[in-house]
Amino acid sequence: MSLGYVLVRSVILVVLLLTAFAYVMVLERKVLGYFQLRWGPVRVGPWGMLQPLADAIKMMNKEDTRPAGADTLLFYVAPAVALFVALGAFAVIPLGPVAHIGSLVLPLSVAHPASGILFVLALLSVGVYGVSLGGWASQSKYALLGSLRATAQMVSYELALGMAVISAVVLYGTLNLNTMVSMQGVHLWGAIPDILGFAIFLVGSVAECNRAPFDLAEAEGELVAGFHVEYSGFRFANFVMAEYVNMFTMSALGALLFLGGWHGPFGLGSSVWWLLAKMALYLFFFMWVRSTFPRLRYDQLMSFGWKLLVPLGFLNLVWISTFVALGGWH
Amino acid sequence: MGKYLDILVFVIGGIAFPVGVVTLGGSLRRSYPDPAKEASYESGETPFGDARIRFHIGYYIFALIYLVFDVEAVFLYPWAVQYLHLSRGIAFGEIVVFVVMLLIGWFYAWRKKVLSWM
Amino acid sequence: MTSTLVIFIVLSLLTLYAAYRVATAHLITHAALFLAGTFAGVAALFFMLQADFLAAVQLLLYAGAVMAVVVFAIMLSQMREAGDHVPRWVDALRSPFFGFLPLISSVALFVILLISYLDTPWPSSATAAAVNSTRYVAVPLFQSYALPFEVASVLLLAALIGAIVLTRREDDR
Repeated sequence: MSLGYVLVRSVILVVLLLTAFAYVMVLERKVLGYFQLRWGPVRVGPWGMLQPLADAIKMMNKEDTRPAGADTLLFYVAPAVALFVALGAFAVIPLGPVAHIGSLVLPLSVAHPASGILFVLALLSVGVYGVSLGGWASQSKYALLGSLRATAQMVSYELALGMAVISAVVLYGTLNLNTMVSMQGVHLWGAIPDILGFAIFLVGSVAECNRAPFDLAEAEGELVAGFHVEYSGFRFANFVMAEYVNMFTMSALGALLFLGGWHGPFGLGSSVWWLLAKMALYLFFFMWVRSTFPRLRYDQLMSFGWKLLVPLGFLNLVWISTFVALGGWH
Repeated sequence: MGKYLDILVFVIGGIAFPVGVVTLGGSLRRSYPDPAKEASYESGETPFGDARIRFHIGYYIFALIYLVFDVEAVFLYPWAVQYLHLSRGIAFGEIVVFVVMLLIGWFYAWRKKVLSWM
Repeated sequence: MTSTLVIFIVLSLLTLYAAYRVATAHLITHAALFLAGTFAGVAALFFMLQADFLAAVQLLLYAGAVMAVVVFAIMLSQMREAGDHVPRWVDALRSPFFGFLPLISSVALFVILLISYLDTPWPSSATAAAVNSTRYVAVPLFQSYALPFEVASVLLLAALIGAIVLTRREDDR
């Protein structure tokens, strides 16, 4: 594969990802609106569909402020780090089986390392930097508190998330995402024996993305905007973009690990569209949860993570390894 | 190696876009620096003191506990991958002992009220 | 020169530069950032060697967990600046904690690493690449070295209890 091919593919993917990001954001505002019996964005373009364009222009024109006394290096590096890590994790997610366009055979991911899931988890554990550096560098009390909370929270829920992922790895006996999906095509979906693991993953993924009701990093009621309170314009947009890319990664991962990936239910064939549909459902779940539940209190959040999810994760691991030892699918 | 190079190209492409926009936008946007704008936002109040206050040690304890549990979790990955191919009784026993050790630590932390916030 | 060699050289130079800045940065937060960069660079080098598992562990444990602890420790402490005056290197060498003790220990570490490097029979890259690196770690770990593996869990338990005892609140009943 030539460098030119890699470049073209990357550019296409980045453009697709940005479009997806823009429209998922509009969709989220729409969904939240409908949940609250209002219309959401309707002014810009038909049905508010040009809203992202307006937002982008607005963001570009915003003055680029930096609080006095902020740590210049860290302040500028933090959004880039957040985005870098989010994109890196997304890069190894396979979005479908190999695509055939004419005589061209295209793998539907940027890269497909043998230990894909390990790579994603490793990058996610680094993902906390963007938040903690950004909040720390801002020289603002709100930002510092937000980033402290976020760091401790992400670290705690990452453990539970890791346990859920390990249970899936035990089930399939591989770290390769493609192999996991093809095994679910032959056997049942992962969520059927590993329902508890899926539940833990679901909760953990919401917490890892710092989304409501686990959005204590932002907590606009008390911390204004938390860790990114001092960021303006496109630097702020970088953080939001990283959050959405992380949501895409998490939803794809949930679908790949537990919901049969690109295989349709009841043997209804397999295609990219199935995976995208599952991702859309998962994203809708993110929005649904956000519009339904109030934010957790910090002590509740930590107790929930450490006293419930972590031990449940271990118990689930014992159950899955018993299941596999008793024969499992094999 | 090539596959990681692909990731790098993709990520750099993804970063280049927002960074490029920030740079290009520099000519579009206004910049009227003002001490009031550069003050950190404290809900309209005049900011006081250093923002980098000392905070509760509780955060640090969680980080430490997480570190220990994360090391344990790392041991579980090779085990999980190879589980189907090891002799199952032994592999199962090994991991039960390992996880029980972990749960003893977890239980100790619970009893010492370390897992409760504040 | 192959492209792999070029990438390797660039990566190692970046890693070394980050490591150098860890020691020389004036702000301790910058030192932490460069430390994270060093960890990430080492992870990238592991990826280049097709040691996926080691690379992931490097990122998960060092760049993730250890750095979280370091960042919290920095935020907890009041010390922000590494000190304005930079001593001359001769004076620095005389003081135990900034000079000869770290120097001796790092030289000792380097010698140990060098000896073990020279002693180890290295597999040819072809065989190493053929095997999934995680399985490659797993087979000896859970068969030949099962006992050390269990001992490691006891060690971790001790570490956990130690951490709790050291940091627990004093007003605890």
